[in-house]
Amino acid sequence: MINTVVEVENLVKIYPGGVRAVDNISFKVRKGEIYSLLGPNGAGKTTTMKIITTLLKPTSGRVNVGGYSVIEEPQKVRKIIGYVPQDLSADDELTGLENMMLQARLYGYSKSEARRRSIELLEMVGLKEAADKLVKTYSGGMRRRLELAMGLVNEPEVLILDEPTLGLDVQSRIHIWDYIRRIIRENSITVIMTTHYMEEADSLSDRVAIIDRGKIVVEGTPEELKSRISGEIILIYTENEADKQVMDKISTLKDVIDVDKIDKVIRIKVNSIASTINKILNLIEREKVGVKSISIEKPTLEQVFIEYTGRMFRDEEPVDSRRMIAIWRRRR
Amino acid sequence: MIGSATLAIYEREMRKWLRQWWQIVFIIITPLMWMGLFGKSFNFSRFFNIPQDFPLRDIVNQAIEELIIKRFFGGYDYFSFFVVGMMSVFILFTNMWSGMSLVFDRRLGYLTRFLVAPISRTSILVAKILASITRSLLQVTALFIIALALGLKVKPNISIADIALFYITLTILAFSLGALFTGVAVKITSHDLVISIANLVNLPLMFASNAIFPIEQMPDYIQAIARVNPLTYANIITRYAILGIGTPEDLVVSFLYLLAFMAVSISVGIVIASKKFEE
Repeated sequence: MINTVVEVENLVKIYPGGVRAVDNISFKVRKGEIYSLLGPNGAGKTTTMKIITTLLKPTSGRVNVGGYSVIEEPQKVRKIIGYVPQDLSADDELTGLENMMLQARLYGYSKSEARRRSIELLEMVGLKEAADKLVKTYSGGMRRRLELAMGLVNEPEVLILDEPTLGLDVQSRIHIWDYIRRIIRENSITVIMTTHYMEEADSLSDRVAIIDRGKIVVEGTPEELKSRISGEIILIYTENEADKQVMDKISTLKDVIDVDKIDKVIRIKVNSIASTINKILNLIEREKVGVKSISIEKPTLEQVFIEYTGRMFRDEEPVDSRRMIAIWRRRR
Repeated sequence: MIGSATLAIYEREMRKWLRQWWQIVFIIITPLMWMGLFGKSFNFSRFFNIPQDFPLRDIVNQAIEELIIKRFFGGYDYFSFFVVGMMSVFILFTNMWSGMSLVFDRRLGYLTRFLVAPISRTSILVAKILASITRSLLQVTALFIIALALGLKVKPNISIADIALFYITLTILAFSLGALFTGVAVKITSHDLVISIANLVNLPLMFASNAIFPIEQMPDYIQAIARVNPLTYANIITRYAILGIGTPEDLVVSFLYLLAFMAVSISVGIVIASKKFEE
């Protein structure tokens, strides 16, 4: 209990007009961990963040940050949190340093302290050279780093990141992750993060809550969540299309949970790859279907999402295996 | 006292403004056109250019001087009368946009930064209003100097106290208008609507005041508006201070009216703003 930094209990937010954006959410964030809310756009992540950051009042429920209630003591909460909003909101017409200094002064730093702290943080995120350039000349990645530094200016106990890499290409995203990891290591702060990027939640978080339609559907470490998906998946790309007879034979093999195919791809869900792969390949050889290639799908948080919500995760960058799952889902 | 957060936000507003040189050019050019074109093209004394051989020329001239020029324009030419009156209009023109930066801060997400910081909501508004006042006073100062060059004749015995009175009056007016328009902008999140409101009020407030013409000759319904229009009262004071037109009694009444207007505007601004911020 003593280690709980953020506590959300039975949180409900109904917007005027009746939209239930957050529907009875509860979770606890422990000191020093990175806690992610993972879910598609419109799942209620940003609304939850806005309530935690005192920007929005909840309809009902309780939210405590660092022991202070966001409803009764918002000013105390504001002092100990750093917020990196989803929108790129640094002022275009000011330089990076000016943005930082203004931010620091909002938290009561004197001009000289603000300057010292700003330069230190700009250096940390690799923006020292660009400190005196107008923000409108920054690239997307530089802006994200500036936003990150701005969120850290008051030495917060809790850093709140709302979609910290939204709109970045994969390269810059990985870059930002490195910065986030370093910041957390060096400052030992607690982080709450929202994201709709699976890889982001997987690679950064200590614990993840999957959120959908205003509710938390499942919570745990990325490893725990992934291990909850029963079985492993083998994809076999064949020379000829396997007929029904072959499919039936595969499905009766020991440790095979489920078999399906789309054209010349057979998707087999098994309890253990090691114990089944040989038998399956032999069978396919015998039946003269011909194996072109094999791939093994590791469980991803995406599969966890599908497993728990029964729906596809809407993502902006569909890759082949995801499309496979989508088709496979629809057919089942 | 003004808090350090207010000061920091104020600095940001001013820095951004000073960086956009074209904005500064425009807040000088538009008023300059009013002064140079409108103010100079209406030369009332020329209306009464009486021919040399006209009978009773001197008496007619004197009558015009007493009954029209002195009575309406305080013995000064129209340009001086007009230019001093327009200063309050320029204060209106500039401060009616004071809410715009708030609308854009909201739109661009910058306002969020202020709202999650441990500062009072009021300090955000106060900083924006102060920046708007500063901008309009700098503008009026520049325009006043230009007007002197264009032929503005101030009263002969003008003192520092008169100049101070001129600035205090315009500051009160600017603060009132700034509070009103900034308060409204907290509520209104669409910049289109803010533009529409500003465009709706600017000309009626200018014409239904004593800025361009004395209100005595206006029809009753315009007079009715002019008599509640704060610009009218500001102009009574500034014309007293700069041109020596009017009586000390008018001055006191006008000053009290402006103070009351300021109290009302600030209250209205605060009521509108606090309702919206507490959503």
